[in-house]
Amino acid sequence: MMPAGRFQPQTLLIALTLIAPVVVLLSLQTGEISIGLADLWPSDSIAHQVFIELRLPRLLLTLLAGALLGITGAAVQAMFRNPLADPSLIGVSAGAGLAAVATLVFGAGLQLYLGAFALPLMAFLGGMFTTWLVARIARSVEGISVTTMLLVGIAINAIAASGISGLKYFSDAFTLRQVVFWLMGGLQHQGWAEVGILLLVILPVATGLILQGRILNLLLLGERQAQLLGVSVVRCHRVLIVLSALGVGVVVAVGGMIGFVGLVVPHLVRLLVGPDNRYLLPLSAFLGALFLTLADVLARALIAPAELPLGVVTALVGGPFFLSMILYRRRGAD
Amino acid sequence: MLRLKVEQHRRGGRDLLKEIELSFPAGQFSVILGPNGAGKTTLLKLISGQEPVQRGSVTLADQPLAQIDLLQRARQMAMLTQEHPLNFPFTALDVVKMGCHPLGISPDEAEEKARHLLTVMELAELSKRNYLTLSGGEKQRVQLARVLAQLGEESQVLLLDEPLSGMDLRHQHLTLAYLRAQAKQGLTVIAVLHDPVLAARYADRLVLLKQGRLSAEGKVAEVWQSDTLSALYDLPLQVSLENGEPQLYTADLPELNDNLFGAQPRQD
Repeated sequence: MMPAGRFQPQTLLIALTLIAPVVVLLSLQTGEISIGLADLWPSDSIAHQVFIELRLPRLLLTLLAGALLGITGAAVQAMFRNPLADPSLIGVSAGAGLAAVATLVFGAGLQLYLGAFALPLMAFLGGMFTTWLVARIARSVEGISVTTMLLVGIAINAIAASGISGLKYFSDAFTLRQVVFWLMGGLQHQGWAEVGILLLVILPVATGLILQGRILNLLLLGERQAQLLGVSVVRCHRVLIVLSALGVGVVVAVGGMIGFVGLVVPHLVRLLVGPDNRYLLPLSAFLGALFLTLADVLARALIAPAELPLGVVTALVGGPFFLSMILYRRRGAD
Repeated sequence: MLRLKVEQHRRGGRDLLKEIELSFPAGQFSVILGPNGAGKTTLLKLISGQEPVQRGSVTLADQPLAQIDLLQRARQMAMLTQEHPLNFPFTALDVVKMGCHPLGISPDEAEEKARHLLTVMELAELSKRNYLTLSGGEKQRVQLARVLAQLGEESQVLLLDEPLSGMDLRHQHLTLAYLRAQAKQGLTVIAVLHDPVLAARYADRLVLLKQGRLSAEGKVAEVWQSDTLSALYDLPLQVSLENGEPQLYTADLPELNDNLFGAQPRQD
């Protein structure tokens, strides 16, 4: 039987705080040249440059993107009242991705006006539209159907994939290169501008979602039940859709398709401290940050000096994990 | 006083409820009885404001329900639904504590209230258990405790859709006795039940629904008649009420026997 949480939330918080420096150091140390503390000065040394221009932004990007994926995963699961919901499974990431590719192919003017913000903005809008669509179609009188939700996700993933193929067909050689490059995902080619964008987004998303924690618990009782407790379910869903799509969309725009983080991380946290969203949301952000950073270390280390795409590593971990969750549920073990 | 007037309420081209006018005074325990599909759950949905009445009105203390905002409504009215779709491993105590949400009380007060109600429902030992691992009847009692936790100073109405489902005999009686006591303290209590004997034993008043219409309503002694109940359930019944003790006997069902034994054997 799955326990309702074996540890106090504080215990997990302390454990993560103790692990965090190790993960951070591991990330800063992984790469072709080894950098010690003494190598950082003088500031025109190669080690200093590598540290400031490559290692540090990459660490911050994986921390921020992982935190966003962890917390939005937990939020989407609360909204769909199902632990199997994940932004990448139900098509939100794909919708964001399609919008991002469309921007790369047709949105030259938009990119001129908005610069680095064009892609995140369009990915956000794409993600928001798909979340809304999935919720709209999967909802019946009795609330949201899980089967329909996952089926709609399959359909949206297929539509987005063919949409992206179509867009590739219509793009010129330069754009095509850009699209292919972007689709491979990963955070290795991004810098401080992207760190800034993620920082800008994580503040409202994390604060907004964590403030909803208590309401999200009530939502888990059932939509009618929450409404009878005085919760405006429609308004709550609206907030969840906007904030989750913002978080997922911006991560997709910056790092491409990084799946399964939003599934694996909240599930682990739930196993350890129980399903209370007041703790689940912040702890999923924390664990998500460490999880993605560790996955990125693996991506760099496994076939060094070459690199695996980050999305491949998270899928290699998350895919089997997802299958085991389904098996576990099928045996009626929860 | 809760007043309900439904001229017509339709869904899927069918009248779910028609020509119903009822008022539920404070301090009264009313039970709604009727066959499957009579419109009992729909009636509670209209009273609780989960569905707006298409032609008609619901008022609570002379105020139209639609004008009371959701949170205020939750303070005045609590309802136990028939389904409980909770699918996450909260403890029984956590589930009950959630009921306190609209009251805006402190976490300590909520914990105390929840523990008290778990004790009332004889679930104190299970308070730390994972809700998902409880039996059907235990889950039902936890959910009932959660709804009772929602009652506060402003509460006027308590609605229950099949509160006894899955419960053993002891807890059926315990629940009904508790509901009757709540009504005695001034609450309007309305429950949908399937057992007419339990209903007659504990309720002040019976409301009989059939095919979306009011077939009879009134004090238990007025409604507890053999022909009234036989007509309600399409079943020959003999009822009595001696010394306030309701009894019910079912006769044989000739047409059922004919159907069962006269029918062709199934070929699958």
